[in-house]
Amino acid sequence: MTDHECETAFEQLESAMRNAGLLWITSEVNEEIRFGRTVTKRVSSRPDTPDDVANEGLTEKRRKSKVTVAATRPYTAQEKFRTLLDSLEDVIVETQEMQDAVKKYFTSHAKNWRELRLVRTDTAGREPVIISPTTDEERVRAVAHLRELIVALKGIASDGNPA
Amino acid sequence: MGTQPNLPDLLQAIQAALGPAILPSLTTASAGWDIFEAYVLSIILEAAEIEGATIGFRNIDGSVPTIFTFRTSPGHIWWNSQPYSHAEIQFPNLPLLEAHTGVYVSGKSGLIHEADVLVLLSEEAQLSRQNQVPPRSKRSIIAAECKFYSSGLRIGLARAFVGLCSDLSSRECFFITNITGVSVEKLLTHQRKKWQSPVQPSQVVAVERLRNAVQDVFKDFRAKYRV
Repeated sequence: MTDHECETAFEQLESAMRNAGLLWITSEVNEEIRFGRTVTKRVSSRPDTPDDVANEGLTEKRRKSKVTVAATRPYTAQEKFRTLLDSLEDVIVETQEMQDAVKKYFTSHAKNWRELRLVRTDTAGREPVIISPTTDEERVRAVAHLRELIVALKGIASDGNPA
Repeated sequence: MGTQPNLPDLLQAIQAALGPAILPSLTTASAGWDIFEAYVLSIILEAAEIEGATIGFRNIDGSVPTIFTFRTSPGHIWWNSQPYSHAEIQFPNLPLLEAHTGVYVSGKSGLIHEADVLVLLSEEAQLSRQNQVPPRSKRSIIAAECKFYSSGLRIGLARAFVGLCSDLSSRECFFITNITGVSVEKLLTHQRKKWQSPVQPSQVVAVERLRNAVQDVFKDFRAKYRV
């Protein structure tokens, strides 16, 4: 994918996610992109005094000419698109699997359990998240389909072909 | 040979697939945090079981739940506005342990902190419920800080965790996240704090590593209290 294609794809996917109510994800991704990618850099550690003027012993001690420091660099268009895809996968696909894992655990450890309520009292009016022993087959299929699409898009983003 | 989908088709398909795939509550970040805490709790309980414990569950009123209610925002262990549930972890011939989610715990300084998942001696939990005081961290064996993010774990989270650890005297404090964060991991490693990431079902190695780390804690608990 060209940079332009990546930028366009990022914008389209970001807009689709916002429309689907996932503004909090796109905000976190944009915050990360604004911060930049953490890298290490080799920079000069020499004092301002030019070498031909500096007299070792009289001026400050000679130091290594280069030191490694942490820095940031802007994300590339490909990295931005990939980050958005990763975040979508981490939230939608993985939470479905986390719920499945929790469901499996309680099914094997609690007799006749009816539901698991995750109650948050610090957010006014928010309904608890409910995990029940039954499976919503339709959503499971939808999440599996979404995962396939994400994988295909990641393939295109990395080498130009669907994975 | 089938035709491979092109980029516009895939983007259109993903747009259509989003709606049916999203759990309605996931439109807020906190739902993800809640599910993540429940998931981490299940891993901790599995680890205890592997080390030989029997797991049971109780509600705050002592009844055995069929509807489990776990607190995911901070609360006191004795609060009974809802029938909050906790796990009981019983190793043979050892003191009973309890595992709670989203409870306050007091630190060395006397300040009160929140633990996303707390495993503590049941006698301390009972003392806390009877006297309506937060349990003391020195009577807990695991305090886990769970962070669920879609992207961009910020360094401030790690800094806060380092501060928290300095005040909690739980035997083991874990920083557990669903995604990786280079800066966070560097800082915690440098500060010799325990962290595990990316803890999510597809990351089998990371999940196994967390389970093993927790097993180690239970192994030490058994050694310490064995008669």
